Amino acid sequence: MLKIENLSKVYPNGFQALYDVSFEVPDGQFLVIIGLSGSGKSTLLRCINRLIEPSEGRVIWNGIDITRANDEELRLIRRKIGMVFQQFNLVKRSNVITNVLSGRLGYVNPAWSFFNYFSPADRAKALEKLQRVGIKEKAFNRADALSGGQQQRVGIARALMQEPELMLADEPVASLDPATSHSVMDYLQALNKEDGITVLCSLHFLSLARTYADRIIALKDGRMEFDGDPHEIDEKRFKDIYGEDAKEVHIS
Amino acid sequence: MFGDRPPSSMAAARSLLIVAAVLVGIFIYAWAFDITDISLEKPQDPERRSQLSRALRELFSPNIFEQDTDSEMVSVNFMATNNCPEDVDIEQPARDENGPYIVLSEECGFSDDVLVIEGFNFEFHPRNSGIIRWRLPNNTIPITRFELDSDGHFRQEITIPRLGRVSGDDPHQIEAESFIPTGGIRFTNTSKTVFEKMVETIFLALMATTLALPIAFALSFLAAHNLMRQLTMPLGPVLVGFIFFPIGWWVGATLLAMVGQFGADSWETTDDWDTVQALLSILFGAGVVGAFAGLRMLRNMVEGMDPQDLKSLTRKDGQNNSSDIIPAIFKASLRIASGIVALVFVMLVVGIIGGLAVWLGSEVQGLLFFNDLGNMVATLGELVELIIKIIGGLLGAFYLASMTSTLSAPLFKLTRDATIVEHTLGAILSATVTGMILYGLAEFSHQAALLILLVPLAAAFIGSQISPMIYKLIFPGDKYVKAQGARKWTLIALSLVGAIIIFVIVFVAMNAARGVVDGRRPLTEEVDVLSAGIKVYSYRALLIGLGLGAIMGGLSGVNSSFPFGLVVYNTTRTILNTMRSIEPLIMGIVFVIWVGIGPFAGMLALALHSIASLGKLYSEQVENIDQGPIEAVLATGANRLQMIVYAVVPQIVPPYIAFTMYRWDINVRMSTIIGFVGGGGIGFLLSQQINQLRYQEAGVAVLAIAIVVTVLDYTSAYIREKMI
Repeated sequence: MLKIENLSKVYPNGFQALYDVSFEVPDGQFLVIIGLSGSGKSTLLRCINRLIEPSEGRVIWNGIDITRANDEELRLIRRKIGMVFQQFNLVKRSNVITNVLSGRLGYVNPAWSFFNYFSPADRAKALEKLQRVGIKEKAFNRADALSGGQQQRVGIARALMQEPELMLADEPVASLDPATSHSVMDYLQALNKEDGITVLCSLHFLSLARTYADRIIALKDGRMEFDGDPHEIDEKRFKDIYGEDAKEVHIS
Repeated sequence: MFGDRPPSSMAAARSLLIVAAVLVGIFIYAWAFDITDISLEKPQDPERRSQLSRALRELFSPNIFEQDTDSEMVSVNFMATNNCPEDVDIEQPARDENGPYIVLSEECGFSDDVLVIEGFNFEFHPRNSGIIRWRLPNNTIPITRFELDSDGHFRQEITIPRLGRVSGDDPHQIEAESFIPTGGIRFTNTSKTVFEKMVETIFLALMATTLALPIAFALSFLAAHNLMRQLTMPLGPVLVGFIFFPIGWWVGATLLAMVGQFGADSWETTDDWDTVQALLSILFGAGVVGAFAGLRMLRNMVEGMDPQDLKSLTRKDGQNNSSDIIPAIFKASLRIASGIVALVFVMLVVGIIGGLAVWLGSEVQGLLFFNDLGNMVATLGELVELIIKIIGGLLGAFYLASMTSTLSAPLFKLTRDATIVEHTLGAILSATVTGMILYGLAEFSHQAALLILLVPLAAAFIGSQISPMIYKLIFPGDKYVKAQGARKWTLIALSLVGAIIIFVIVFVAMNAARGVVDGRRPLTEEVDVLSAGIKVYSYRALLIGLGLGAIMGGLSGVNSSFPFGLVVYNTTRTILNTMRSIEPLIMGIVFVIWVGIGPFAGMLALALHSIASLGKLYSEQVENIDQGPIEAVLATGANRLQMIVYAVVPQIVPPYIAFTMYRWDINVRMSTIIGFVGGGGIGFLLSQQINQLRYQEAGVAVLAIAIVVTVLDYTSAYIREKMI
């Protein structure tokens, strides 16, 4: 169970990205966060694993207050929370398997990892995760030799190496074309349904959100605008979230 | 203010401004012209012109090759007087009609008279050359060169040189010598020396770059804004760490260094006792390893199979359980113990490596091909033994500082809700630390007069932090928002004012004018403080530090966030920038004083400058990397070092290689001139040749430099292109 309590974030330049956001996510849910660009989706996700320090409020996960954890504790928490990014955030010059293995860094002995040594078990696991996202044969290619969709799948494999209980996906398909988007979203759905990993995923497109979400939270200018079932979002709600001039676009 | 005027007058004002700017510009250039002493008279002076053409001609006539020559020499007598008799009759040497001979147009004359010399029957060779000399009774003057035509004949007009007052009636001789190349062409000695010196130069540059590389690499991360910015720590643990730093240094430099020395000595096998000692050291090492493994096992048993299980954090949400404290102390002492054992092990290994290198080096040194290798290994081993105290001190200091600050962190957190305790503790600790810093600076400033400024400057820095703090206390802003607009400028102005006020007060209190104006070092007079002698000067600095530190720490409290990363960043940057602004030539002069004339001094100077320069170039590359992977790797639960190895290093390898090549290129160029101040390499040779006006030899050196620099330039450009 993930509990967000009164979360606020003010950036040092005075911009307030989140206003008093509170919600709970039961284990195993596929939660989609929608909203316009700049509505605070990325900030919210990053406040959960404290890639961004929240200004106020608490994030409590399985009874642990993430916001009060010290550096060492935070590392232990982070290794159970996977994250995938809009820009994939792979090390482009490293090969695919090194990128995937870096998901294991929270677990391995730091001294060994400096010399790029991973146990055979970890290496086997990396290949297995790559197999799962369907690009095992690319394991020894350089990451930047892969297409966008493949790179995002490497990103998912890297997150899977953490054996996560929670997955944060920050606009995972925003840089991809519609067909690839669906394939990446299908992988995320599979993690959720088969492995029971809780997924928090931010998306631009309502149509994608409707297809994959168990529940949708909408953010507008840093405030929670909507929290409920995907089919509850009708024309009026849509205009509330995206503004009067918005038109819904369908990705098929 | 301009907006109120009608537009036309604004335009007029603007063009006036431009005219004024241009005028000012012209005056600045005129001044610069005058200062740089640009004049067209000297370059037109015919004497200078002929000197120039001579120097250039010789520079461009390098004597790279030489060849053995045979020579034929003939001479005729000449009567040098200003009243020649009607009938000149002087005795001439016997002429061999088949061999070479010369004929003069006149046999008598004096200075500035023109004379024609004709030579016959010389042996012809396409590359032969000849010289005509004037031989006085006590001196020989070279007059001119001549060229033979294919018949072995030449005709040369000469002017009789200024002979001064002629003493005696002894005839002068005019001799002509023709050289014919024989034997093989070979390099001149100059060429050979230049070649040797060029090799020395390239290796000097290579060593300087290699030495600088690892240090600059490590520093570049500390000088990278994007990596250091986020690094903050609560003030309390930082202060505790700082207090324990010198204690750790002392303990490390005494005890750990003893361990290292023991390891090093165990290899000096000269008699039986040392064999025993070697055995002992092996036993000792094994004991250390065993202790380490044992402690590790014990720790794992105490902390559970997975020592870092998430479950153990569950209580974080609620209150602290007092029954956890005993195991916590036990765990902490286990951690400390295993840390100490690890340090002892590291020191033993370092010592053994040093001793082994010295022993191995001296064994190998006699062998023919390995002489250089043995020398290198032995010198490196000696270096390790020399700095073993420093290694021990550094290890001890960093270990004790980090250990105490880590262990104290949770204790400080307990005071979070007790404001008075938090701030009182802050005042006490901060006073101790700033007192220590200022005292240390004061002791150090006894070295030289101008260093007397260190204490006022450090105090001013603290003052610049205090005044904005007081302002923020009176007018608290939004704690999450960086100050902006008017508030930001107020804070900047306040910190400046605070710095200046404190600087002036401390300057007067410390009587710093003594150093700045009189150029004298601080007084060494002592006072009795707590029945210990302490220098008055340092005592004052200590008191000032205690006062300022107490204010600063009292205002901020132990739990306020301390921008540790930014402090390290700014310190590193300042050091790098200062070092970069000192030219290697100046560093070379200093190193020549220390290690003597030769390539070693030049190498050290170039290495020091390369550290600064590469450190800056490297750190800019770190600042330019893609931040995404950093975020991603941190999100997996990696620690900061792992983040650097996996997210930063792969991105910076290509530019690092490129810049290192570039720096080597620069260092080769620099090392050609570092010799001018005695730093070895080809520059030393070049400066000698130039000082002795041997331009033809200097030409060889210049040519060699040009070739090597060009080749290296292209090579490094090619490699850089491949890498990026």
